Amino acid sequence: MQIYWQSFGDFLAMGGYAPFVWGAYGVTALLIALEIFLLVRGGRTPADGAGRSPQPGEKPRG
Amino acid sequence: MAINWFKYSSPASFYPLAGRLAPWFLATGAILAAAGLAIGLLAAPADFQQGDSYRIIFIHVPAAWMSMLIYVVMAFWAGLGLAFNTRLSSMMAHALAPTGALMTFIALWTGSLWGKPTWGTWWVWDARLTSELILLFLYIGYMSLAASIDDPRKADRASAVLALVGVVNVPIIYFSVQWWNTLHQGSSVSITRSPSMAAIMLWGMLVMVFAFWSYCIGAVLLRVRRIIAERGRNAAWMGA
Repeated sequence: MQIYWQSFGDFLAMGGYAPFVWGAYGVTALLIALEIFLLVRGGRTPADGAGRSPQPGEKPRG
Repeated sequence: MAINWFKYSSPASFYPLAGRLAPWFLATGAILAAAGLAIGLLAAPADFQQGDSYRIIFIHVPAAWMSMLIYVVMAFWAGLGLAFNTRLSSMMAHALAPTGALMTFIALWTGSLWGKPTWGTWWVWDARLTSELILLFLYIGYMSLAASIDDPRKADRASAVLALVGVVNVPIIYFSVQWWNTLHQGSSVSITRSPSMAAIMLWGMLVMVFAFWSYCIGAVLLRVRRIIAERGRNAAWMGA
């Protein structure tokens, strides 16, 4: 695979369309990162088995 | 070997399965996205008419396709839940909606940023753009309706009706460029004729389509787990 660009600056400039191309890619990446963050936030749910409530008379864990 | 598919129609057995599958789909999505972006942003040459602005295609088209496909799948699961009163079907429909809305927004956003340099305008009320905007409103309406009803089974039924009515919009989006004289161009890729784009550009786009597919499946599996956990908080198998 051959790289089309002459230099890194060339790549960033996107032939003069930098605000449009990077605006599109940047917002997309940001929103997908946000969705993943929201989905994994809090991590384990009670159904993963770690969330058993303390029984009466039992000392709460952690 | 006979697989008992019905086994996984119960939330309790689908929950761990979704948890095992989601990371694989997300990882596959990430690898495909890296490959697709390398082709689309590094290897592919500029377009002879549009210059480098056309590179938005590598996210615009996959997101637009996913926005329509997810809606159809969402309406399918919602309809199944409505018809057979199956819990997991309705949960799948609810899990699909936010990712579908996200894909719709990405399609509109990237389309706007592509429209400015190529058409000279951020937005135009043509049939393709307007029907895609309606799709976003349908997703938002579906989610708002489901969230506004306290009883989950009632919420499932009411939102399913909305999802099913709204599915009419999907063929309108898809065929809008043929039915009306739109500023939006017709499709560059079709099953019935050879694509009107260079091979490397087409490959970049197809790889990105599979990356989006894989990502969306992974994200929806993670979300359906959250919904199962949320709704089944008092279920015995959760050990809560």
